[in-house]
Formats: sequence, C-alpha cells, structure tokens
Amino acid sequence: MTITRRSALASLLSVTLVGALVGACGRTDETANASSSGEIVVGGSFPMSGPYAPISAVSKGAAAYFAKVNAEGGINGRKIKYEAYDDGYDPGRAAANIRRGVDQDKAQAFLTFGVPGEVVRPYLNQNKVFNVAYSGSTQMSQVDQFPYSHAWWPDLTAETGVIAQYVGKEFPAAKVGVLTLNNDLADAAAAGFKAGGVTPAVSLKVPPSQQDNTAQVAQLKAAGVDVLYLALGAPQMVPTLKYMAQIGYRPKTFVYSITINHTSLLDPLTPAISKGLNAALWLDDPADPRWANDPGIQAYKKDIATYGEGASADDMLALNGFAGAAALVSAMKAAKTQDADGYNTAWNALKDVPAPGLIGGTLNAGPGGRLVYRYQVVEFDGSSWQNRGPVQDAVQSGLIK
Amino acid sequence: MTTMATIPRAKALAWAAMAVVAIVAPYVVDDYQVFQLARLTTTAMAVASLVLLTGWSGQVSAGHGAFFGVGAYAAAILIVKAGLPWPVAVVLATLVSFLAGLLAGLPALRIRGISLALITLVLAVLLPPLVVRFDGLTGGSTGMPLPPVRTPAGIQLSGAQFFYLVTLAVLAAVLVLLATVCRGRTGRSLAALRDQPVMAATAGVPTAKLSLLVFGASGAIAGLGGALNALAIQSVVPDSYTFTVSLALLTGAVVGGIRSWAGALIGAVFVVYLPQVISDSVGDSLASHWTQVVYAVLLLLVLYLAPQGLAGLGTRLAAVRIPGARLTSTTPRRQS
Repeated sequence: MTITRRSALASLLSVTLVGALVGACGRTDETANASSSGEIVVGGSFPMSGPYAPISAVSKGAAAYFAKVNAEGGINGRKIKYEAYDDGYDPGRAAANIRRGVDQDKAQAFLTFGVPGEVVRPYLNQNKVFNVAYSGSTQMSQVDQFPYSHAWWPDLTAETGVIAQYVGKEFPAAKVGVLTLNNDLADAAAAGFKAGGVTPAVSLKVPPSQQDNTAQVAQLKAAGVDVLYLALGAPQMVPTLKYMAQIGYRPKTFVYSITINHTSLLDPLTPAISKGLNAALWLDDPADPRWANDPGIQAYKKDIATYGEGASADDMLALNGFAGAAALVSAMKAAKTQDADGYNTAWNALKDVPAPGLIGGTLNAGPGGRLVYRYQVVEFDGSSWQNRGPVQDAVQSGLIK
Repeated sequence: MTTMATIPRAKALAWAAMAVVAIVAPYVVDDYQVFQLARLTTTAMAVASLVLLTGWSGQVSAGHGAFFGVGAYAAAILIVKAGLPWPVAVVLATLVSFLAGLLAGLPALRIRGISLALITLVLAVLLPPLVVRFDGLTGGSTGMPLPPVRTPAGIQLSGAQFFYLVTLAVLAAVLVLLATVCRGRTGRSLAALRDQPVMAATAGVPTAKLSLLVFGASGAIAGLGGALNALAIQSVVPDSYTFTVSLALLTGAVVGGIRSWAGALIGAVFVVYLPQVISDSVGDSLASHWTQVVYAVLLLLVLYLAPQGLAGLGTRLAAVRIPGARLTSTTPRRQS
C-alpha cells in the first residue's frame, strides 16, 4: 500500500491544523525570576570540556563558596542552589545553558565566562537575571546597555595599562612587543598600552586554536623586542615560553594574570624558565609560599578542603571563582529584594567589602560596574612572586575612567 | 500517479509521526527545550545541505561551517546595520550564501575527494579571522547581539515557540524541496556525477554546471540554517563558526546517514544534544576528561555498526521487521 504525494500533503496540512488548534495552548514571554522564599537559584555556564576545560576550576571555586554560605545558614536563611553547565566554550551551547538556567531552573543570578558569556548577555538582561561575568573584556563594562551584567574580573585594559606604566618608568628605552590572542584580549592590550603611554614596536595576534607560535617568537626576536607582553590562552603559554628559552630568547616577559597557575604554568616551565617572569596581579597566588600564612588564604584553603569537592586549593582559578562568588553573595546579602534589581543596586553600592585573596584588600564599586581596580606588579623568583613597586589603582592613575 | 510519486507507507507514517511530534512539542515543553528544538531544526538544515553536497553529488566539504557562518553574519549585518526586518534579512542572507557556495564550488570543477575537502576546510579556518578583521561591520571578536524575534500581535505564543515553528516550517520546506529535486532526473544526474563523473559527462550530464549549482544550493541551505540559528541564539560571534563546527556538521551527516534526509535530522540531534547529554551524564568533575572520549567511542560504534548511518540502520531494521516496509529507491546507489 502506498501514499501519494497528494495524500502526504493532505496529512501534512492536517497536522499543521492540529498544531494551530493546539496553539490555543500557547504561552506568552515571561520575564524576571524572583522569589521571596525558598532557595536562591544561581546558574553557571563554563567550559568544562575541550581546550578551555581548566577554566572549570572557576566554577568549582564558586560552588565551594556557595556551599560554605549554605553551611553557615545561607542568605537570610535561604540556601543557594548552584546549577552549572558545560558549554565547551561554544557560544551556541552557552546560549542553551542560559535558557536552561533562566527558563527551566528559574535562576535569579547567572555566572558566565569569556566570549560565550558576552553572547548571552542580551538574553539575561531581557529576562532580568543578574549576571556576574568572569571576563576581562572591556565590553563587559557596558552597564549602560546591559545594566544587569557585571564583570568580576577587572578590565584587562587596566592590567596592561599598569604594566605599560611600569615598563615606561623602569625600561624607558625598551623595545616593547605584544603577542596576544586575536580576540578582545588584543583590543584590550592595545588600549591598555596606549593608556599607559607606551607604543609597542611589534604587536602580533594569533588565533586561540594555534598551538605553534614559533614563527611569532622568531619575529619578535628578530625585531629586537626586549620587553614582551604575552596574553595567550593557558594551553599556548607553556610551549611558547619553552620555545623562547630553547632559542635563548629571554626578553623581560609579562604574562596575562589569568593564565598564572602553578599547576598549569609555573611548574611545567620549571624555575629555569619561570624565574624572571612578570605580571600585574589583582589576586593572590594561593600556591605561593608568600601567602601561606595569610589569614584569608588559609581560610580559603580550609573552605576548599571542606566544600571544594575535589577542587585544588592551589589553583588560582579556584580562588578566582571563590572570590567572585563571595562578591555576588555580598551583593545578595546587602540587597533589599532578592531579584535582579535588588542585586544590581547592592552590587553598585558595594564599598570597602573584604574579598578572599584580593590584592588591595577590599571591593569597591567603580567605573563600568566593576569592583576590582588594584594591581601589584610582581616578578617570579623561581618559587615566589616578589613585589616590584607599590600597589597601583587603575582608577586613581587614570587608566580607567 | 507515478511510481516516482509513491512513498512506502511505513516511511510516510514515520515522517508523519515525526511531524506531529515536532508540531506539538513546543506546546508541551518549556521554552528552554523549545530553544533547543530551534537549534536542532536550524542545524538540521546545515546537515541536510551536506547530505545534498556530499551524499548525493559526491563532493566532500569539510568546511560547511563557513557557509553556516556566512549566512549568520549576513543576516546579522542586514538586521543590525541595515535595519532590515528579519525575514527579509534571512532571504538575502540565503542569497549571499548561495553566491559564497558558487565561489567555493569553483575548485570542485577541477578537484574532488580529499583535496576538495582540504580546500573547503580552509574556508572554515579563514572565516573567524576574516570576521575579526572587518570588525567595523561584524563587531569583531565579540560579535553582535541580535534583537529577539517577537511573536506577531494576535498570536498567543512565546517568542521561542513562534520562532521554533518558523524554523520547523522552513526545515520542512527545505527537506520537501530537496527530496523532490533529488528524485527523478536531477537525482539520477547527481548520482552519476557522484559515482562516474566521466561517464556522466559522456552521457550528456552538464557536470560542471551541476557541480557549481549543487555547491551553491548547498551553501544557500547551510546559510539559511545559519541565519535562523543566529536569530535563535540572538547573536553572532566568530567563536561560533570555528572549523570544529564544520567537522561537527560533517560528523553529524555521516552518523545520521550521508544520503538520507531523515539522517540529516538524526545528525542534527547528534550535533546539538550529544555533547550536552554526555556532559550531564559524566558530571562536571569528569567532563573535562571524558566528554571527548565518550563522544569518540560513540562515533566509532556508530560507524562500525551502522556504516550507512543511523538512518540506514533504522531502514534496514524496518525492512527486516515490518512486512511491506521494503523501501524503493528511485536513484541508483553504490553502497560503500
């Protein structure tokens, strides 16, 4: 028995009619997840698989802080339910995770990371969900367009600006080179060097997927670059620095602070290569013996051991996530209403609020809806970071307006 | 009523059942699941475009994510920069993708197989840096947000429901069009082009014109899917169109069934849902280690157990278990 094309078409039309009838059961768009009782749902979308999987330590650190808050009684008696999903650093999957968090889990706040986090910002703001982004992108300072989205990481422009000011002062005759990823890191680095009054002689960009940067290193060496700023992804940093050592190219090298990690960067490099590396830090390195007796770091390590569920306390990214969650909880505790507007008002009013592991000690709301503006230029001596100059405030020094 | 216009009953019923499920689904699941379905339908268009190009005409493309991205960016630019309504932008983006497909098809006039695959892969590798390079137009590395598609006044549907139904209707139209075109004379010409291009030319098939047109049509369909996908996600960003997307689409087409329209749907399910299902199953702490391993093992199992794709496996099982469900084929097929 067969079905003709005509009868197939008739069937399809019938089905469409059924659909139209069922359409009476349609729904309209809803906005704003808020509740006055029960759990406070916080969502998260991070790369837990793929090349960016090490970033998932941020989510583990945040989860540990929320667990600690719950163990201590929650926020005004309400527990935080943290639901984080893997996006594999794929913006499409991040968009799906956001809808899962907003539409299904009814999240009132959402943690995001990197470029996928920027992609989902419009949806979070349309639905009035408070968004804390682990991103150094200058774009994340657009609180006029996206009032509910705030970056936890400071603006990378400030970090490179602080480095540029230091280089301009300490190495005024240096030939400066920049090697960055070809994404917003490159834009922020260019803006930071400009703000810091230094014009790089060579600026090179590579795609995030490129592992072999030998050609770029050779170009920098041939150009006579003697002060280098490296803002690559964590997987690219080690092979690039190792190759530089192999060919005997040892410029004064500054590395992007987010990639600093004993496990994934300093230990694989060995002191022979890592000694002499520089950075502008805004967060303590929990693996550094220098901060071993710091009460904030000690408390953090104890909390990670108790609530971390396998997270490494020595991982700077775990501390990063932990401290970002602490900032969100500070806003939640100060909020008059447990919704995006309440969190937003409270976040924008945070002043002298302590945060674990923060260089400069306290959080203060400032330009671009961010909270962190203070940096310490440091140099690695083979086992520990040593200060080079005083703590710099990017707002006071005019780098961020 | 001709023989070519007949469809085996079991197959038709399966398609009808799928259509009912697809139409009713947005009314019974939440907006997150509806959004996932919209990702599925738009991805299915891209996979179907590969079925047409690689499965039917035998021209391998390892860079179809580029056309997906071209469609997405063309639509985004036309909506955000030119202020065009989204339906107009989608139509124009499809035309742009058609032209891109024609250009990309030029090498196919001289080369085939792995060499053509490598050239198309270059397109996929080139697109993200090209997009970043023209940041004034494209938004650079952080891309462009797109406004949400609003439900027209008078229709009681959420934005997600409405837009999913639009993508479903477009997908249905694309599949019907492809199935119709690939049946009959054009289908036989494509099969000849795929299996014996020299003999096809000898027999009067305009192989050069056909190769180019198929590339153009395939690019247009992938671009159409990309444009609608960008509207569903509400943004375009270079990281969404890396070469890994092209490989995922090709993988989806092979897993689903490289010569099957139903396989395009199955392939899209593989691309859209499998990574999430694996991540959810293995848990956050293990995801970084096991997601790729599980994905690879599943892929190997499918290729080993169902070399003609999951759609082919389903057809074989149906032919064995359902009397009268033996399928007819209107095009000569060389099983490989």
